[in-house]
Amino acid sequence: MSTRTELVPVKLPNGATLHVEAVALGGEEDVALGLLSFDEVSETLAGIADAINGAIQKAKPKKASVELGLELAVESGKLTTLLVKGSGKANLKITLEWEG
Amino acid sequence: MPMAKIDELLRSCTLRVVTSAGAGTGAFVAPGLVLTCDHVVQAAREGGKEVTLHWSGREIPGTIVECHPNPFPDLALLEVALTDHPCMLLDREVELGDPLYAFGFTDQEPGGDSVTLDYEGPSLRPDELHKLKTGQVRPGLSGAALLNRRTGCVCGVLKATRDRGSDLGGRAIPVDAVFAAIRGLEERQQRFHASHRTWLDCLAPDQRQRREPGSSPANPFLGDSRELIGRDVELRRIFEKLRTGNHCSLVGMPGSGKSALLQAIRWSISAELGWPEQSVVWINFRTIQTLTELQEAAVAQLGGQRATEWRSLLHAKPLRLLVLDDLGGMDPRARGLGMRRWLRGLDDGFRTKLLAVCNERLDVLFRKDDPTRDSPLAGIDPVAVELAPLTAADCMRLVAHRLAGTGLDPDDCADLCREPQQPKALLDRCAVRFEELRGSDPHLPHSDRQ
Repeated sequence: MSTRTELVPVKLPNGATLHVEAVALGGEEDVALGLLSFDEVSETLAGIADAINGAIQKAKPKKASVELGLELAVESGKLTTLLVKGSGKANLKITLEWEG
Repeated sequence: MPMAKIDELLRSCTLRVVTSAGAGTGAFVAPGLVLTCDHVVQAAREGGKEVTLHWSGREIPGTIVECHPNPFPDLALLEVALTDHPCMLLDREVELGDPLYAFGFTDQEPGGDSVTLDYEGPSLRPDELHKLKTGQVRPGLSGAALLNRRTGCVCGVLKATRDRGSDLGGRAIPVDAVFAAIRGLEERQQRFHASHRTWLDCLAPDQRQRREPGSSPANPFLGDSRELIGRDVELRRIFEKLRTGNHCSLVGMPGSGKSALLQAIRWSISAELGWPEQSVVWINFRTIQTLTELQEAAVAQLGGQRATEWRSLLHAKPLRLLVLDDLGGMDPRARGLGMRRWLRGLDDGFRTKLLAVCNERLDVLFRKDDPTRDSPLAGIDPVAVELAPLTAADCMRLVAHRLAGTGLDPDDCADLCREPQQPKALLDRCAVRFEELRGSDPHLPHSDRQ
């Protein structure tokens, strides 16, 4: 995977502008200057949270903790999300506890 | 060196185009008119807001007077209250390997930056953009004029990068598409450069020679027919079939103007049917031999990468229409039957309609399919839209359109327009007539490139 990064301007849902360092994945895109939308990142995060929550609910643990590593990337002019290795060795770490 | 002056002149024609949502590049194309990409000014167009242009240290308000939406031709014409400026010179000519130059206002160099590229050739996709290589096309260059350093003229408008982080190149809108989209621009260009010789005077002698009247003008009847003349009824019928949820087939012999009609459909389908651009996929069967290639071509346009993704992509992104150009290129035997079944099945699974474009009716084209059991496409459009020969009046209109701005008299070809005929046949006959007249009349320009 490419490790080249780009500093790209991103428009947050509240209208504020943020510059983020994103992995450049390449791809064809129109070349007008503009702000990238953060919506896809928010949707991805919500999607992952929903999926994990659904699985955890089935297991009915007393306590659950989830750790995931996300990295932003820009591909074909759109901001996207990569699930990457976090602080540990996994890109998604789930700990479930039940009463003994 | 003349080329040094030409690139300076190109830069002096170039403006930074700014809207509330972003920025790009544009260039003066006629007095008071700036050409750029529609996607550069899309936010201003949709929000009814003004565009600001930066040129020669000045900040000038601009008004969008004409636009042809993204993805193709993706052009916008802006009007400014200025006339004391140079204008670039557009010319269709470009050949494989031609060295190109562009100047624009990028994210990394907002004050202006240069890029050189090579012309790699056209892409066999519906937009037929110029494919460019060996140069880094950064964000901000959309709308930049693409100078062909061999001819000394602008051969396209930069639109896209193939990778913003490397020198993989980009894509540009051909001048042919600019002239086809913006009616009258070619004549305006001719008038301007006939009276303002700054650009022509910057050309090297060999570049100038091929443009000078009397030395190397093109025969106006040569070249593919891009005009849409005399096809209004057919255009309406196609949109009506699609609007009412039917498949459609467009049938016409070679040279009947199918390509020009498809261009018109492409440019107006969003406005006519309210379908988003991304819900229409265009496939050309000149390059497709197998079902996998067909699925790959569709998936690529839907934003995917592998043929197997087609089902999930269609679930996520509704595909309203699949345009099947040059369908006669599909194998009429068993090898193509899989493709026909897959195409036909899209309507059942995803309510995707088909617009088939071919030289013969579908039941003739695929007569080897068993009509009683599995001829998937034969019955999709019982009454095809057929491109009949143009009427005599439309033939005359086509001739007059080709001669516009040349100073030549359409009546010289009036006798060739008395019988109904297909556009290509008419243009071929008129091209021969033009050469005959040129041979006998010393006042008519002589051509050295046919």
